[in-house]
Amino acid sequence: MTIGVTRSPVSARPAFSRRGIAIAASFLAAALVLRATTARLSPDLLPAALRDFLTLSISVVVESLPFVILGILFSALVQVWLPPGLLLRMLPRRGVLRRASVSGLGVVMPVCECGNVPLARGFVLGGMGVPETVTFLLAAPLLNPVTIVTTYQAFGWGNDILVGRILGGFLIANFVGWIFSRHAAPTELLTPEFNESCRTHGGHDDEPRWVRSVDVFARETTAILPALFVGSAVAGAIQVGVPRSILVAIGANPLWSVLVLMLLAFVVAICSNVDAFFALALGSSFMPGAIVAFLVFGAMVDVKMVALLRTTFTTRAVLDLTVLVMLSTLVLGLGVNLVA
Amino acid sequence: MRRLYGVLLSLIGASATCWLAATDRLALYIHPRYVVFTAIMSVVALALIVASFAVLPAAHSHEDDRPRGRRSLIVGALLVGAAVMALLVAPPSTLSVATAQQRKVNQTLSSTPMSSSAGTDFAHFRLRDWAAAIQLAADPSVLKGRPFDGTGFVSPVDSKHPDLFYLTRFVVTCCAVDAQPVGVPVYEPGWRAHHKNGSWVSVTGALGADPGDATASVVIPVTVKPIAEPSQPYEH
Repeated sequence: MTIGVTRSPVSARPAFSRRGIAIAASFLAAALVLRATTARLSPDLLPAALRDFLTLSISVVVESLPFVILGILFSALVQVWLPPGLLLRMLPRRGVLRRASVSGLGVVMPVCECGNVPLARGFVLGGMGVPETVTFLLAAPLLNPVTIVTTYQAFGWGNDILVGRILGGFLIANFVGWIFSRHAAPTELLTPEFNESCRTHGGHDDEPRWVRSVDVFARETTAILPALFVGSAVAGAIQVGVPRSILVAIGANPLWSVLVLMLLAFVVAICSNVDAFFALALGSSFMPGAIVAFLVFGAMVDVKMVALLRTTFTTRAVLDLTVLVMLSTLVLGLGVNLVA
Repeated sequence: MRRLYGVLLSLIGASATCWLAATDRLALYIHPRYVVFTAIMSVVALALIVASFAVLPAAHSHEDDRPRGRRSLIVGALLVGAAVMALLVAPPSTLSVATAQQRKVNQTLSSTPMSSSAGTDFAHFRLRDWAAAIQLAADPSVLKGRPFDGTGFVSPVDSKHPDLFYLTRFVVTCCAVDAQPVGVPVYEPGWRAHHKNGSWVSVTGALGADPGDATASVVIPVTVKPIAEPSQPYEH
């Protein structure tokens, strides 16, 4: 694709291309006409299983996409609009306190787990360490006001579920961040491509901020959306293929109920901002520790998040992170079952 | 130009979402409480997409310097094609009776919240309220004779109750992923000859004892009329 763009003779800044706008408008019009035309087809043309797979996969995409866009906007804010290093200078220097402080950033940036990935990538590009970023990624979906309010709406203060979710999530995030901080070279936990981006980041300060913001949008959507689409398709396929009734049927055992709801959380991949309402429907069939495990594990790791995390971290790092969160959540769930 | 790959995927997702919002079909996928936020963010995405096409081809990026293999291009093209097929070509649809059966009707009914309009007024009961009342009533005679009027799709109860079908709807609390099927048992001997699994019907009648099990309440219908799928098929 070649798009004619005029450059100012006195500046290297790219000018606004009318031709580019026309191309974008043409693509948009074509997409809307195609959508309006094919919407008249009968859904019965497709087999029921394929229809349900599409409906469930699209549901995850439609639910997640606004949060991903919001996360990218926050990422652009951090990378382009805030003074370089401002956030890092405001954080404590000591590792434990630094990670604990980073955990609380979700309070001022209320984005769900998938929206946090582009934001976390922005943090790393801005110089934040890998352990702190991992801590943020795991804690922010839980320690944000939207998640806390929806969990309170669903469960109130009873059954230790709200406290277990907030406190347990904070502790697990900081524990995993501490483990990652023990790595001899934490940047080796990043994919080579993202490491390369980190090295070359910040070389275009001559361009206007809004152009750099648009560049962040394009770069992050190129990294995140393929993973989101594939992760959503996997989540839809698993739900069509694995009867949920089998999972729900074994909810009364203290150990199995925790394991089963963690597996369910991994599979359904619901946004952490609203997953409490889904968990509410399981409240009578499962023990409180299992509900807490569902709410903590699902907010940190699920099938869609694994795909999103792989945009930034190596396979080994994602595997380590998943296992650490899984074991920690299992302990948390069993602990809540013992005291509740 | 590689950076426009994500922009293209954004365009597919955002345009599909905007169209669903404009045609009042976004609630087929998410709870209505999130529709405004989702629509606003999609419009924001569209603005960024237009800006991307306008400036990015001129802006330099190190990522564009890297050589891209044929495999990467093929995988990218396949993903764009799949996204177009799923989001722009396949007609929007609700979850089918197959998913209702897979998730088991009324399995999580005891913890499904009553609709906000229900209270104790039977006249305002929605399908999930009736389903909860029928399943949880300690004494079925309390419900006997109560008039019933509801719509839903047909799903079989089980092989032990061939004369019953569930008048079914999905209850969505967040998005279609968490949809839980709830149903009211309707007594109509030979119903399979008149209604296909998954077909939508409107039922009027009254609550009464199940002729096959006097301790259970069912709807004894006066009329069971086939109807088109409603524009808002889920309960929220």
